[in-house]
Amino acid sequence: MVIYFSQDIIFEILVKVPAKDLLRAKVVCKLWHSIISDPNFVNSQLAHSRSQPAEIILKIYSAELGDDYFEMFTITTQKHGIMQVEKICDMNFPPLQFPFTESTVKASCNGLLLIFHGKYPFETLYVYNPVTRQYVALPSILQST
Amino acid sequence: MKDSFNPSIEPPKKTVTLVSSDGYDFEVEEEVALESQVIKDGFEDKAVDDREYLLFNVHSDTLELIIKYCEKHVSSRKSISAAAASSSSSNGEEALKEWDEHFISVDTNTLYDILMAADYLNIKSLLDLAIQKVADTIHGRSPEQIRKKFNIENDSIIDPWASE
Repeated sequence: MVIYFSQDIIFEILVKVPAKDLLRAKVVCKLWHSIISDPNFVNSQLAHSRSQPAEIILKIYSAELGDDYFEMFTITTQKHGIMQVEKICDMNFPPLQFPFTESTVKASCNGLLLIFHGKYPFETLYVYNPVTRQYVALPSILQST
Repeated sequence: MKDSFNPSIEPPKKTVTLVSSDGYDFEVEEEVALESQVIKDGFEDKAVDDREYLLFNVHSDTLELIIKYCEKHVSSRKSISAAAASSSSSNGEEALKEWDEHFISVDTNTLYDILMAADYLNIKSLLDLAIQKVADTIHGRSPEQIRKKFNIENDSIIDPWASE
């Protein structure tokens, strides 16, 4: 049996899919891609995922290991109080590697991380999305003397 | 003493007739039918003897399940609020959640039928339940597995996950 859901229903289904799975769902077909890429969808999905009880832990390895490497996990509480831990990503940040530098996660908001990379006074700030692995470098701030 | 003759003087429950797409009549209590926002809208304007609804998009197999869901939710709401009124402890909401989970654990075709019917009848809580269940099936699947599951033709130009 073939069933065709309306676009509204597909929208509602995809809103309830975790961000990590959406990366794969995005390439299923053109319709899904256009729904997931829509800013309205992004806002609805964010609102939904924020309403879900979940916590995130970051495990960061120091630069001494030769990498600015971290792993990220979500913890969700399932039925009967069972906790489920799932790894979302493990990766080096940023993809460009500089020798003898360090990255630090300074803050997080709406699933995005604010990352300091480099050593004073040559730090660069990145806003990083660990799920999509996209990042932008923020313009450097010149400190007034 | 009082309780023993109560049923005989209680007014008969008001009922509504729901007719499935394949022509079966289902007589349900008014408050059960009113779980559907579509039926609720304009319900009061309809004459009492004309409370029959032809549900062209809902097959009797699905309608039976929908009615079961609505009856359970109406009765659970009553017992939950009764427990709250007498301030006695109750795990009614937890139990209802578990009942829902069991209710929606059906094969894919039945799940899709329930979803479409809940959408058509506008039963918000059931629609949310079915949508969540469908969304759960996407979790952890590759694009190709998702296409297969949802009967979707691959019209994407590039598929970076194809080699995985």
